[in-house]
Amino acid sequence: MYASGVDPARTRRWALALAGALGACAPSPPPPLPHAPVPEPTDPLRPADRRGPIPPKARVADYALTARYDEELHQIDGRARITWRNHGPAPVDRIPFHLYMNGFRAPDTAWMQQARGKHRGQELDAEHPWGYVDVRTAERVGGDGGSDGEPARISLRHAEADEPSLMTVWLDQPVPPGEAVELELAFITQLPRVFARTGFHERYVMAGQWFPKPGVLMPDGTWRAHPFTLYSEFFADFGHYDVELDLPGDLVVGATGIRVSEAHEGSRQRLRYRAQMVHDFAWTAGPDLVEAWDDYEGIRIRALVPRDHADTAHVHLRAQRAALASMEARFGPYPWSTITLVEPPEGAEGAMGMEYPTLYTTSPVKPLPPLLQGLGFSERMSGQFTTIHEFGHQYFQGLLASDEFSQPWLDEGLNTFSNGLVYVDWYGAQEDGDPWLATVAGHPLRLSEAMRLAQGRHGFLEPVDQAADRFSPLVGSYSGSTYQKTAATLMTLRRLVGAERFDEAMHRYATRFAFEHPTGADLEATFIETLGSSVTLGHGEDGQPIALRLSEYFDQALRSEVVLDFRIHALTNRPMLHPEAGWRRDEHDALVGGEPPPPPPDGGWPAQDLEGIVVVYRRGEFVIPVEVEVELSDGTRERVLWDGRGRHRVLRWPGRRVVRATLDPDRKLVLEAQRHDDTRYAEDERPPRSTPEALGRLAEASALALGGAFGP
Amino acid sequence: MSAAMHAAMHAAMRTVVGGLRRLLGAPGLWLGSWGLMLVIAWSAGAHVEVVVSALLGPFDALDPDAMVFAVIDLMRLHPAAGAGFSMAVLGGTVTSALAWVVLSPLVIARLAGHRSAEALGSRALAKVPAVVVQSLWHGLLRAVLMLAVVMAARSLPPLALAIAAGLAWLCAGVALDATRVAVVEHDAAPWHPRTAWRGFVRVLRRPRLLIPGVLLGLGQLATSATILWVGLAGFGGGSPWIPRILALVSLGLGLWRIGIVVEDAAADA
Repeated sequence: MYASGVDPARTRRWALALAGALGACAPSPPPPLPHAPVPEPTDPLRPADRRGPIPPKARVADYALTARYDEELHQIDGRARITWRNHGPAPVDRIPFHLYMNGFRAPDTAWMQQARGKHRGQELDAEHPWGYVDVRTAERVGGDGGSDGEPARISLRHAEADEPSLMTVWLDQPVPPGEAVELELAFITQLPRVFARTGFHERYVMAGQWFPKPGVLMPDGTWRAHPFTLYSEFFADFGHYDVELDLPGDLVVGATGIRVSEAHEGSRQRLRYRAQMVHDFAWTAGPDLVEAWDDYEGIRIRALVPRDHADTAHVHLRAQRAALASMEARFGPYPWSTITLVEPPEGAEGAMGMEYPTLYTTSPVKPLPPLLQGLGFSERMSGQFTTIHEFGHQYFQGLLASDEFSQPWLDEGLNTFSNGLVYVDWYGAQEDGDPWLATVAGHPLRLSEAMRLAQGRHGFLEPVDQAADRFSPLVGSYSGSTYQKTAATLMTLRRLVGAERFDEAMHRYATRFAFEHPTGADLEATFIETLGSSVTLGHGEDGQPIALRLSEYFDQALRSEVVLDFRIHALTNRPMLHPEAGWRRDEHDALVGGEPPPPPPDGGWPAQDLEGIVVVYRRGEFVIPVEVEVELSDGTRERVLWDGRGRHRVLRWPGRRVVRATLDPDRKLVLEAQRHDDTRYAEDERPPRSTPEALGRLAEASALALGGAFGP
Repeated sequence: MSAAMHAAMHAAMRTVVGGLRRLLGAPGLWLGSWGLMLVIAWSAGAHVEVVVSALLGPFDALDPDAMVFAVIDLMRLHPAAGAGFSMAVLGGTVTSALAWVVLSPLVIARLAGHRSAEALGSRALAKVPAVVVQSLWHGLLRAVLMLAVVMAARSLPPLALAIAAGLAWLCAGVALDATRVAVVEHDAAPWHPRTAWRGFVRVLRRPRLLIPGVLLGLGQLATSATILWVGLAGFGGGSPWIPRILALVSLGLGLWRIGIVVEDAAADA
């Protein structure tokens, strides 16, 4: 029922549309860039009382790296001294290494076989297609016998696997549990022209995954070292990094950690960085990057943007602040003292949208054309969503370092969900907790709606919880499933069980597993621990409680392809039975009566002579309780909770006439990707707003507008 | 202000007011043209309504709180809805454009003051082939002009480039009016491309023709943008008569522009 008179929502929409149109005519100037450079922190980590505890066994692999970049050859001449600690239960006599850059070495690597030279719309460059890392030597450092006070070096056998993104180094003697080994590897890294995260474009460099990294030894003594495939990202242990970069002197440089020294020697610069309790080290450099700064609660924020985009740096900084505020409150403290965001220049789009510890790359802010703004289009996504998303990875998987190969949903999916919460915290207070991401002439597209749409048609073709290499680019479900369906799964759960309890569970998970390698089982166990194994959502028609069983929910949402889809199958009002009509037997067993059924009165049956019926149909295989809201002819609304276990349910309102029925009226089931069949009116009722009529009128207005523009 | 300038201003005002007088003297033409526009646009809308209704069946209710989502969801589930919408709008636009080519001799003749059915009918029929041919020549010249403007201004910021291209487009529109008026009312060579070329030359030499013509064209574009905005903002609600009335305004601006060209040509004659 839509009340007559002023509709506040409609008024708001018109106001929003008008504001958008006027805003387009008189755009407000960007706020001035923040203050002068924020000084380099002196410690890579925030003070202990601000960053939270670090588990004693979290620190496994320390790196001392040196790298000299030759920009003519696009090569890095590097050495890695790695101190690796055996926290496993048994002696270790060999160490597997990831050589991620070798994924780009030839067309038949595991990565290339899946990617076929394409990644997120970018293509392999014909002139500089290949990247590789060539480990020249591997030595163990330590023991007696060295000269000039230097420790002895024992050359070790090393060999790539058949899949070149993996290598094994055989130790000359096993490392006992609790002991450490120090290895030194010399390597050459050839960068490709960037099309998949790492590489160069002209003089710009994004050096990610540029050095050999040991796999991860699990507590059960097995190694996690995986081939680099199209959808797998990275997995490594935490440790301290001490890195010396030798780069052309005119490049502006950003890197993981803090810069502890710099020296210019002729045309070169030598920069030294230190990072602590991180699991990777990346650096970027470009000749035409400008810096912008901010500070958040003692965290130095540094933005590197192309000079011609300097006027949009404030958008990234603002989004960065919002992300920090939201994620610190929800998931615990950000432990590092710095964060650097980088917008790669035009031509280096392949480097955009990637996360590394305390450093990430974002994408440009692209304002809508004035014409569209004038027509009331606006959005909160361009550039700033990438910033929020890539920063979010500082938590999921920078801090909660899940295995991105085995369970990619734990970082991409949880992060995408948390990005939505950043928007909720940033804008949601004024927008019913479901902020808009875009508007068209004042009509919003909200976060939860975007989550439904983003699952796409392919998001349900493969289970969420599977290893990265099981996703096929031919199926095309990776993004819809891993990112979006995971986010929708969590948002649905949050809306079903209540934000407060859900947020408590997520906070517990995030703080408990910081600086660890949590699994999906850890997450689910935390939810069950916090919420219980089942959560009562309400009571059914029979008064019995209806509960959501968490394990069943996660099984369906994460480990199956079942689709969540309900429909109002039928909505009708039929005359009540009239038992006084017809023949019936009396006490003498004689047939009596024979009255004809009463004819419908003029104007149809009154409501009290009708039985309103709504048939709810579970079209998808996903079993979950769902609420149905029914509007009756007397204007009242009633809600019924159905457990969803049968294929359909018939709901009856004897003596009442049903006007409309809506499934999931509070829009809790974000996992239900489409809702067009969730509302239905009685046959003799006309909806106050009809989609065909609305689109017809829009088509008419468009034809009038264009006909006028191309008219006489 | 010099006397010459004053005289030029006076002449320009006289032309503009004369054009308006010609429009106001032909209310039947204005309303009839509007009716034709409404029919074409209504057809497009009805087509969309029927297609979407068939696709949605009983699930046709539009959630007023989720309109953008509902439309995207519909287009995703039923790509035919998007295709039907696009084709209906495109079809309506093309039909309008063709209708204006065919009807322009009649429009010009009426604005030139002809009232008798015989005079109007003879021009409406006899001049159509020539107007079609001249419109084609004009289209070629306009394409060259647009290309030249875009090439010359390609180093400008996108907004400046769009403004330059838009002004060139509007100037060309006034030139097309001049060409058609020359053919219909002044027996200019009906088939030769030079006639179309002279339309450009004429308006470029006559600011009193060009400036009001471009301003009225801008007004038409602004009105069209307003129609679109109203259509989008009122999606699912609002009166359909607001865009329709705005279309009447847009049409009036266009006819006024043609009236100015007719007035100018008549003054020369």
